[in-house]
Amino acid sequence: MKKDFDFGRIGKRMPYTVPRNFFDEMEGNVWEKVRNESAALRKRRAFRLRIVIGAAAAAAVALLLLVPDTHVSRERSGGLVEVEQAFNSLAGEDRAYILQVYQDDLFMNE
Amino acid sequence: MAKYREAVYWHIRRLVVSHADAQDAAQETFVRIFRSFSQFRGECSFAAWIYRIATNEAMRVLGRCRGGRVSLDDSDTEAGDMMADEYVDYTDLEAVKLQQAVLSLPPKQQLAFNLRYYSELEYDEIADVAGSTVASVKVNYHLAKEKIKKYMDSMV
Repeated sequence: MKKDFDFGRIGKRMPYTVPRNFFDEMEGNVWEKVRNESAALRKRRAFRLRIVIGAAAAAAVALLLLVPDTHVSRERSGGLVEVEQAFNSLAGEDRAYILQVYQDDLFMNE
Repeated sequence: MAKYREAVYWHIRRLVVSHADAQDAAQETFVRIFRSFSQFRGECSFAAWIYRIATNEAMRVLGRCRGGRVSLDDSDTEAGDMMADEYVDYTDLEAVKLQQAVLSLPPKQQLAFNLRYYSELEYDEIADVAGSTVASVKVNYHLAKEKIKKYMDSMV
């Protein structure tokens, strides 16, 4: 007599098998891969941090070098402008006299 | 990991059949779980989240074996086969036949059957794994059982 298939008879039985100690080995492989990935990630983060610190230090040095220089050059250009303004405010005769006296001055034309 | 390692492996094994492929997919599943653990928002149960990652990995391995991407929505996906594998006990004929019956099902029915019958997940958890609805999962599970019964009866 033909018997209908009954899930209860077979239950959860499966024909699949695994090698001995397979699950422990698999767990070991996973932990190893995760550890390696974490170590690589930490290295990458440390490298990125070093680059950021280096760039910040370079920017700070550049700032230190540039700021006083600009200040000095502004002072210098400010002084020349004042001299020029004073010269322009002189009468024509006085300007001609000054030019005549100082045009051959060794220190002025250095 | 100890709690889920066997459950995840067997779930993947039932989908991909080959031990080597199941090992590859199961290991990658746990690596992905550790990588994206902080992204788990509790929108579904932790078990459903793990099974979803495991199912995606199984699909990735199947796609690699079949030379393309395999999706749960593929209705014409070729049926898996009990290919020769060192780690299959072919002497247990009834168990082999049952797996052949399961492998002959469309992917969504196969997944619904495996997750309900073997992994004992709730219907809402299976819906979360499959990206489907509870009603659809129930229909797929019912259809799967009917088809398996018919397959097993025809083989007697």
